[in-house]
Amino acid sequence: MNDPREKYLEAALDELYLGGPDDELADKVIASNRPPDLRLVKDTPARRRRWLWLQAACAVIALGLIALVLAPRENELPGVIAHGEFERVGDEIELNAGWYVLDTGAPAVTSDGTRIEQVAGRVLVKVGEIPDENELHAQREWLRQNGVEETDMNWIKTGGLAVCLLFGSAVIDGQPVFAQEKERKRVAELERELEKAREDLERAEREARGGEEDGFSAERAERDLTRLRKELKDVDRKIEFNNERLEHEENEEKIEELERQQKELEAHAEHLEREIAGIELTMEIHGMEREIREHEEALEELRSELRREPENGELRQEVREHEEALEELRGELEGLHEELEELWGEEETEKDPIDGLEQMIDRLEEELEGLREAPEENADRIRSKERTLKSLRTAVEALHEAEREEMRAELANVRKELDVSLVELKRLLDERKNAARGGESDRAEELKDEINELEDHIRGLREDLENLEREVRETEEEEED
Amino acid sequence: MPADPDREALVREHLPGVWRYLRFLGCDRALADDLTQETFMVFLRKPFNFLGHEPTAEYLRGIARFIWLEAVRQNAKLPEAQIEAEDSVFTEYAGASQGDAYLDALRECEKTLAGKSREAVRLAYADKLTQSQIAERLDMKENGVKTLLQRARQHLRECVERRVK
Repeated sequence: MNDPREKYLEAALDELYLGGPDDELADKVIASNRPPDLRLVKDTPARRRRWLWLQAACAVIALGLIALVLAPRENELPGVIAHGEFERVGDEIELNAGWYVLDTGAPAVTSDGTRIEQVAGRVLVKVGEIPDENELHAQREWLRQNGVEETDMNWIKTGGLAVCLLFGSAVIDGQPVFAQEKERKRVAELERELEKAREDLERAEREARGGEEDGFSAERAERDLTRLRKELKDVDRKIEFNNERLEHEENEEKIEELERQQKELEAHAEHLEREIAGIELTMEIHGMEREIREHEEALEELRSELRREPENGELRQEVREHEEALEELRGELEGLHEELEELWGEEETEKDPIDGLEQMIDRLEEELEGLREAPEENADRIRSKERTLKSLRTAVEALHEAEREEMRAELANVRKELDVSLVELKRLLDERKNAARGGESDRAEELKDEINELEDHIRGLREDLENLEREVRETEEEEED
Repeated sequence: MPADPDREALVREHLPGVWRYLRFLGCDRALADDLTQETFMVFLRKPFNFLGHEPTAEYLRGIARFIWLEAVRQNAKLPEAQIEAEDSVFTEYAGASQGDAYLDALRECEKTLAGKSREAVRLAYADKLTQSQIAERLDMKENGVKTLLQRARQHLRECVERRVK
């Protein structure tokens, strides 16, 4: 496409339908250019699990902020914590050996032709190769003292330096590099895992209910219904037969045995009835969904006709009737879904998918136990149930793991946020003390309000922490059990 | 001399215009995001005298163009004359509103497209379908779709130009 006017139109059409630049882009640019502000911590929004990536990013920022305030300076270089040999060359620093933490405001550092400058955040630098575990272990104490966490480090090798961007951004050899991406990627990965676990769960549930892997099959449902109805008839006959025997039996031991059998048969019959009702409902749901689709298509056609002939009263009436019928069908469909959910105890499953799945596993295990009493006769069903059981267990394990990971991340975030808030509280208290000593009563009063607000925030954080710790403890205990 | 706004306000004001310019030059959405960010990182690092919004927009486009050329240099050789022609069209179309007025006009003009043309344009730009997919969807021949889209674009261009002028 050579005509620039056409090219402009193309770009504008794309923006018209798919939107312009992300609203967050300007914030991102501004944030990466602004030195970190401790008071921002108080404005952290309510924590929610779906904002995990945001929390992870905040946690890293918080960690850096703690270090900014607490970290001892081993030299007089502003923004640089040095742990090795270096030389000052004008306003810059030439690194010869060792480890360095560069914070916002650090001067440009160079080594063997590589240059790091414009640090807006925190960067860990090592002269030489990317450190292995032993090297990291050897520096553990120094890293810890300077508030650097050893986990999840993403090192890059550039010229003579190994660089790990802890948070924020820096310009390395003229290229801006951002740390946030790392956190986003990690959380996106977690979300993908969780999504996969959910998919596994849905598939397993479908299988457990006798549904088709890739959708509903009316033929298969009919076959299952015939089989289950026949099985139910057999069970009913056995119950009747047992009842007759019970009426005439006098031997107590035999009576006891017959009663036990009777109970099992009744439970089995109940289970079969539920399965039959489930399949019947599913068939009804699929029929209704088809009907709704047909109505929707017809309605769409009618609406386009009406757009062509907006004055046509008959058409308008027809559209209205179809809309009403559709509404009614949708209501009925919703009712059927609710009925089905009730039948399978899905309400509970929605509240906690793991509990729901575990109940299904228990049911399947019981069934399998029964089937294994006649292994040859039930060989096919045993194989099928075992497959389902395996899928369910995998899904449960995946969900447990995702939940644990999420909880651990959340707990770490709250702890870090609490640390940062406490540091900020101490700073405010000191400032208030100085203001009071200096006779600045207005400022002291202002600070008092800020302190109260921060104390409320800290109280909230402590409660969150307590709840989370309890949750983690309970999960661990459950796992041990 | 206009009042000197702070740099953050300038970022917010000019970011959409720079992003549009990069999209116009041919960057996909993700690349436009990245290069916009780089443009403003450079802008924020350099000393700058505010002489008004239009000169600022031009200055920012200069940085963005340089960064874009750096990014595509390895893959394409672009004649300078073509870049200049494109720049002048962008300046004319985007105008002082940095493209907002054009986009508003386009939004209105899109509503004036007749049934099938509008659907074809939507399928092509909103759903990103190929011409053969659109042909299948609209029960038309591929050539027919091509002509339909050409006519629709022409109508839109004329309509937008009328409105913007």
